[in-house]
Amino acid sequence: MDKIEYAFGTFSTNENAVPVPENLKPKDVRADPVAKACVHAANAVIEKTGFNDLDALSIVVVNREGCASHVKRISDGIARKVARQGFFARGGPQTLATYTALALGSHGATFTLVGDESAVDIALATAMHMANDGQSSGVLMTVVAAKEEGGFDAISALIPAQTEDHACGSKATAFNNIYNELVTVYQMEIGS
Amino acid sequence: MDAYISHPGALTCLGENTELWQRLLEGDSGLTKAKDAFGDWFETSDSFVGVLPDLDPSRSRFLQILERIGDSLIPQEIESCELVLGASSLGDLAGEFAGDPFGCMKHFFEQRYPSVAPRFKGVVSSACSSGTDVLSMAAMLVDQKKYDIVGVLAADCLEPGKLLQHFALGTQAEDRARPFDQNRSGTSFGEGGGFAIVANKQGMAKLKAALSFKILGFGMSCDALNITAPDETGEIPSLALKRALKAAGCSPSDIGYINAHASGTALNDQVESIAMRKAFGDEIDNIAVSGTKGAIGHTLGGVGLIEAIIACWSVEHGVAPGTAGLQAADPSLAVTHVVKPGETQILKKSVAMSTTFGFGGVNSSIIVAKNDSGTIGEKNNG
Repeated sequence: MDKIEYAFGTFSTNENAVPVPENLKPKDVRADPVAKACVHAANAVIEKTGFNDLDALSIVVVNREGCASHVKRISDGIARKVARQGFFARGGPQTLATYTALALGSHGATFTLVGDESAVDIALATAMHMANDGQSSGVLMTVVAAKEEGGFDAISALIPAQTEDHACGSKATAFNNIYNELVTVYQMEIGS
Repeated sequence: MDAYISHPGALTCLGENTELWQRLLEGDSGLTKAKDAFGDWFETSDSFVGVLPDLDPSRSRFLQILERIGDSLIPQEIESCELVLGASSLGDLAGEFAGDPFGCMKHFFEQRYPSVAPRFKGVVSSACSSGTDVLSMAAMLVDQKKYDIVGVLAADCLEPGKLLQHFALGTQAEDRARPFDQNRSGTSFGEGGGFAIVANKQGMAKLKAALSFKILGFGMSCDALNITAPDETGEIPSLALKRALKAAGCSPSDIGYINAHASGTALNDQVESIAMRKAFGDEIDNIAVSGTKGAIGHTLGGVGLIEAIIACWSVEHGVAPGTAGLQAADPSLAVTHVVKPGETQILKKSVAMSTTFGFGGVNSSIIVAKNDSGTIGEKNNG
């Protein structure tokens, strides 16, 4: 049986200020640092694989803190009854998936799941379902976490769509392999 | 899909469950003026919001809403759920749980349902599509038999500070949400939430629950154009609707009712009407279309689940509620035949679509059916 082909891309920095990915437009450079980290990891796996069927690519992201930097700016503003509309619009965890879609120009589904390590398992099951539902060209799943000492770790897995010709006989193995790789982001966070 | 909805419940400024449904049919609205809800912040504002009464301003607003959902919506069957997923946009923006709805929900489950808490594993955050997307995620998980029974809880709160942000963005109406109206000026933000159990047939048997509502399919798309504004062509949003139809195994003529996102912002209603026309073609004119945010407010991360539940009640009773706030339909929109406020429309088919659009260009659509709706979606029943 054919095996599911999947690949990984990574991004890691010890800095809280993450460089702006080149494929984010000028109006999107104010993305939260954790969203930029997601985009860098996504870019890494797309570049590595040469995957170009981006139009129907779906994005799934798992994270624990959401856009903490932007939320702090909003909260600080609210304490003084000051609107922070730019930060507010960019403060939701959904931006981890939607900025990735913006950077890649993908128009598939976008899911962001906020949770601890066990959320990775849930999100990956969702990603695998979408890779098999015939509506996505593939699923790009990213796990991103803030490091305790500063900076971020992110790993993206690209899971191409599964077809009848491209059977999924080793689906369980693929799931375990992808899970074991992605979950290391949270383990690095714990270990740091 | 092998996915059914059991124990659906919704809590809004217009009431909860049966009361909410009856008041929707009667054309009532639960909106109040911002100056009455948050006098310290908006002393003179005549803009309407959909807030829950009697919340303590000294405590987490989001946690209090979860507690009310626990009091009135969450059944004892939650103990049977193998997984519980939450959905929210940002939750509180001040205090202990600022921007951390996952932390707040985790605290809620630990306090209120300690035996369930270890099975609460995440919060879907897709801005205003969060509640739709958690339902879709749960449907995928039970469809693939990873779990048989999943509880979904979608909620959000409207603090005055959050309302301030929406005033600044121009998304809050000058007066009130008037979906599809020629004088619409924005939405009426609000708060509340919903709870439902999503299970496959095996799970429903374990619950000993009737197969009342079936999830036929869902579709999503991302505009990938702008972090706040929708794709003005309606092309990408229409993909979500088309994908939902395809996933559900439905043709446009199978749909009896669309609970539209219908936020009442100038751009949303314009784009959404184009998206509906593109996805359904002329068949859209034979489908009952309405929006409920003029009655219950735009409850942010909770609204997708609340409105999907309203879609379930609509197919259950065979009737679509009206569009509170609408006075004169905007003739420039691609869809103008929406159900008027205070009126109802008998459904021709027991299948409904619920659609939400969120910040970041997240477009989500889910199709639900009364379980005796014949062969519709049958080819996709796995």
